[in-house]
Parts: sequence; structure tokens; C-alpha cells
Amino acid sequence: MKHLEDAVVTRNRQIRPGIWSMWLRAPAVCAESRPGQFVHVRVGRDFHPLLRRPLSIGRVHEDELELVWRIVGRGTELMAEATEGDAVNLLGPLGRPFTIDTDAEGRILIAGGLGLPPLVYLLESFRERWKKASLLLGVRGRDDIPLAEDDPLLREVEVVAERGDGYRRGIVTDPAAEWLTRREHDGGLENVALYACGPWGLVRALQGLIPANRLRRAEVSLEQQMGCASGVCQGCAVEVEDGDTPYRLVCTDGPVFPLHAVHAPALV
Amino acid sequence: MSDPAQPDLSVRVGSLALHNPLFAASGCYGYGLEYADVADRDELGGFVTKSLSLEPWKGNAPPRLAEVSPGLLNSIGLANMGVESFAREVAPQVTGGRAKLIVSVACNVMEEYEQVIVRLEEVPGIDGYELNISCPNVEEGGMAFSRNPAVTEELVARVRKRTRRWISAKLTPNVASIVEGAQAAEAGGADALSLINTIVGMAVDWKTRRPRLATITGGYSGPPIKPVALAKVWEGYNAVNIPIVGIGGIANWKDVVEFLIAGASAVQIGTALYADPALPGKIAADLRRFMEVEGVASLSELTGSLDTGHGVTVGVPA
Repeated sequence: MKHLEDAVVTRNRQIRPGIWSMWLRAPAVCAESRPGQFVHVRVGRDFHPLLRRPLSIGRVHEDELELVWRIVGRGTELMAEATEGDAVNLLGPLGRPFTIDTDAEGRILIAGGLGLPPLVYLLESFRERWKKASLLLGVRGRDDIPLAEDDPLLREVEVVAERGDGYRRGIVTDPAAEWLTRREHDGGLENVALYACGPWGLVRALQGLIPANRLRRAEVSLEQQMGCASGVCQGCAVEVEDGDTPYRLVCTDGPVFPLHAVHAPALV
Repeated sequence: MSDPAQPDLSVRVGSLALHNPLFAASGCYGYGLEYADVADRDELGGFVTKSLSLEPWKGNAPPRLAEVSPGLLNSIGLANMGVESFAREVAPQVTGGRAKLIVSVACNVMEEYEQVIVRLEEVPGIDGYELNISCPNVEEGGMAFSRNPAVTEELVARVRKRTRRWISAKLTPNVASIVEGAQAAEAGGADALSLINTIVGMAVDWKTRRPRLATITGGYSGPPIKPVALAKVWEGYNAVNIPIVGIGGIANWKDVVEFLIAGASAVQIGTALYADPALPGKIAADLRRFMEVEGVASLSELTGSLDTGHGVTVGVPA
């Protein structure tokens, strides 16, 4: 069940130019949250900006959760202005989480840019049960990594940067393809679970990289303009090949969908 | 039951008695279940469902929303589960509360409005219907019905023959004057008018030179449309003898009071619910305080009480 909860900011800081990380104490949301779910954040007290902002739940540590965002407008600016002790109203947890596949033998997590937070959450939940999962992150450059330089988690992420910047130069599908090739020769792909989150370009690239039905499971978390985040407004539709309708709602049917069922829009 | 120590918020909209004047607007409250975890439906005087059609509709291609803060453009295209699923699965879960259940109906052709109503007549506990004849986001029917007074009258009259339940006609503001349509709906036998539906609008991404909605234009809603809605309520109030339900940009108790003064008998809260699904309860509490502080005995006394400075309120802006 979802909650309307006045969460309390415990930490809010800029971790990269224009990218912020906020930790909030939100016992009700945290108690029921699963990796892949999101919260709908009321950024102000009035109706300007009008709508809440949907953000993936990042790490959850006991009754605190992390949100990471890039400043793109007034709403995200207001979030950056919040300081310790401020209340931020959350609606959540919302949406369908990633499937925790207990029978999978290999787990690969692939993030593009700000698609990282839900996969970090997923990685940490895996770590509680299994020893290993690989988390790959593709960014343009060092400044786009949605983790602070001093964050110990950064050591567990394999970063690929288009500009290099001290990391492997390239795009995230390069190490993903290598990982899958290694796996194919060592254990096979049938038991592999793949989880992804990132821009449409990444979704399309992964669909091209991995033939449908080769993996045990391939899931992607999507983003879309959102109004209510509760299945009310029907505004966050995406094209998903699944059943009798061409559209599914990111807020309640997703945000996690089978990778190969999703149709990336033509104009992105 | 109302507490005798508390101001009584109840109003009547024709034959419909509400424990407070706040409806949730169609499209902003789903089918009445979606917000159940976070908001008490019975804090509303009533709620209007997402518009139902004869068959399920898939809606328009994405993107369907563009925030033009503090307003919102939408082009949902009346995506809905269809009358049958609602009647069988949803209705039994949302009837019988304090909040009146008003089912919104939107179809492409007149016959289907009748068919949908005939099916809904079999469902107990529905308190009335809102005929959505003003959706700007569908190719057939929709806003075109409301733009043609003769069609409006015929459609309302045909539905009227099928039901004794309360009927409100939801009209479009996208006309030169709302008067003809309002009078046509009244002549057809409507019990009330719902004013207004969204205003046709458009958003452009200057960088990509693309429209921000797949359908290019959409329906504009939210706080910025309040002045337009107030003007239409005022026009309608002066043109017909049936009550008016005011809709458009309502986000706080003052907005509600202003709509009542302009001629509304009740109001609907729409887009603001996306920001705060629990808003109706807060507004109801604020309205009670307003009545106490201002010494208002009944909200109904506010309806149409606009003081135009020259006594008789017949001056409608051209």
C-alpha cells in the first residue's frame, strides 16, 4: 500500500555539478519499498510547480531512503534548497518493482546516467542474499556519475565514460556485451537475469544487443511524464507489447517492464 | 453524520444532496479506488469517475502530458476500462459511501451514450451521470457535441429518456459563448451543468521544435484557468435556471467560495488532486472555519451572490 508521508530531510548535498543526493527519514515508505519502485515528491507547499516529481528510490537504509536527481527546472531546484530537518511530502512507494529472481545464477545490472539509483538499491538488496552481481554504469563523463567521489559504492560500479575521464572510454553496452559473451561460454545465458535503467537510447541498444528470450529475465525501468503516479490520470502511457492494449502506464503497470516488450518512441 | 457543533457544509445541486460542495473532477480521481490508501473518499461530497465509453478505449499515443507550470496540458484521449468492467468490478466497491457517485460518460456517437446509460441503470447506488460532451482530445464526438447546441439538446434529451437519475452536462469553454450550449442542455432536460472542461492549448519545445504532446494540442487545466472558468460559470448562471457545478483550477477554499459567489452550487477539484490527493479534506476543514469566521450559515446563500455594484446581476460580459 502507498502512503502520503511527510519525510524529514536528514542530508542534502550536491554530489556532482548539478546532481544532488537527498536522504530522507520516511519510515512508512521505507518499510514497504522494493528496488525499482519510486516516490512522487511534492517539491513545494503550494501548487507552483503544480505536479509532484517522480523519482526512483535509491538506497534504503533502515528508515531512510536516498533520492538522486539532476537540476533541470524549478521543481528540482526547490528540492536542492531543502535542508536538514525540512519536511518533504512523499507519495509512495509506487509502481511494480524489479523481480527478485531467486533462481537466477548470474545477475547483470546496467545503468545509463541517472538510471543508476534504482540499480544501486537492487544491488544492495542482492548483496544481502547473494555474493555477487555486476553493476555497469554508462555516463558521458566523470561529472555525470550519480554517486559522490567519496561514496564507497563507487568502487563496486564498473564505470564507462564516453569522454574517458580516467575511466574506461566507451559506452556501457561495450562491457555489457563482453560480460554476456563471457557468460555464454561459462555457464550459459539461460540463467542470467538482466536489470537496466536509463534513457531510451540505452533501452534500444540493449534490445539490439540481446535477442529476446535468450536470458532468463531482462527487465528495464522506464521514465515518463507523470501526473498522478497512481493510475488515475493515464498520462504516463508507454508503448508496451503486452496483452490487449498497446499502452501501459509507467506508474502502475511499471516502471519496470520486460525489456523486449517495450517500444522505444520514434522521436527521442 | 454532521456534528451539530460544526458548520454544515451541505449543499444541493438540484435533486442531488451533498454533505459538502466538493466533488473530485472526472479524470482526476480515477474510478474512486486509486487513492483509497491515502485519502478518504467520504471527505468528498461526491466524485465523478473517469469518463466511460461503451467499449474500453486505449487512449492517445504518448506523450500525453506536458506540465506548463502551474498548469497542465493533457491529451489522454479518454483511455478507460469501458462500462462493462466498471459496472461489474468497480461499482460494487465504490457505491454506498457518503460521497455521491457520479459516473461520467463519453462516447463517439449519441447511440452509445444511451447504451452506456442503459447499462449503468442496472447498477444500484449510482447517484447520477455527467455527460462529457466536451473532451478536446478525441477525433470523433467529444468537444464537437458541446459546440453544437442542437446536438447538445438532442443528446441530453435522449439520455433523459433513459434515466430518472441526476444528469449534468459538462460543457466546453472552447466556444465564443457558453450561453447557447447551456440553454440547450437545460432544454434537453439536464439537472445541472458542469462548467468547464479543459481549454484547448499547446506546448512547444523550442529546442527540438516539436510539440510536447503527441496530438500537438491538448486540454489545459490547473490554477491558471480559474479566471476563464469563473467567467463561464457567471455566464452560465445568468443564462439558465438549473444549478451549475464549477470546475477549473480550484486548489483552496477561497477558490471554492469564489466559484460559489460567481454562481456555482458546488465545485469540482481536478488537477490539484494530482499534487495532493488528500486536498478535499483540507479544503472542507478550511470551509468550516470560513463559515464560522464570516458567519455564513449555509454555503448555498453564497451561490450567485456576486455584488456587481448595480444591484441586478444580469450584466454578462460579451
